[in-house]
Amino acid sequence: MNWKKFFFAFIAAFVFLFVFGFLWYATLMHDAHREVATLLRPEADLKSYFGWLALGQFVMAFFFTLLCARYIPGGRAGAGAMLGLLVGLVYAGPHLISFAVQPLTFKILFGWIAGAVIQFTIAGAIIGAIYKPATEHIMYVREPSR
Amino acid sequence: MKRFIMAFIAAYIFLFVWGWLVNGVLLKDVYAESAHLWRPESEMRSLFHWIIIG
Repeated sequence: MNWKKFFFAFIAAFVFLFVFGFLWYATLMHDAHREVATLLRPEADLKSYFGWLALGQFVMAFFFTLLCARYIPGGRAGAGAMLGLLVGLVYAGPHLISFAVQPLTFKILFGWIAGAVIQFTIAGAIIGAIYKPATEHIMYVREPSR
Repeated sequence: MKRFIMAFIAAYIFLFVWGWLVNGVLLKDVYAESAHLWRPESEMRSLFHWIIIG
């Protein structure tokens, strides 16, 4: 693992996830969220939970960067974007289930799914573009024929 | 592709059973304490296909 590149990729992913999250969920979907205000904390309470929000972004950015570094060891924006797309689609599952058990609207359901897919695809591209393995750790192996 | 389908089916069954055990059984009483956040059970049953897809 190239920890220096990992660190830069993680910081970039964290900043992107934070800014995108604010723009998408807090700004673009603000009115949609107000339609189910009883399910969410009052806006006045949100400030006191800001630490949890930041921790959530930190966890997503750290483990997603780890996932990219571990499974796309060669880096590349395209491969990172593809992994991000798949991770975003994984998020669609819990959102569909949330819709079934919580009185959410279709607008929120599709907004959350689209948000996750776009967010992780771009985050994956950013991480893939920044993270590169340490050159002494690159190893080429021949895949066994099946 | 054959292996992929088998792995997918195994993962699907595991996630479904695990989700039911943890969320439907183990955490049932915890969820009941915040009933206002959830759909009524009859409504959840009518939306069960969303759970299957998810």
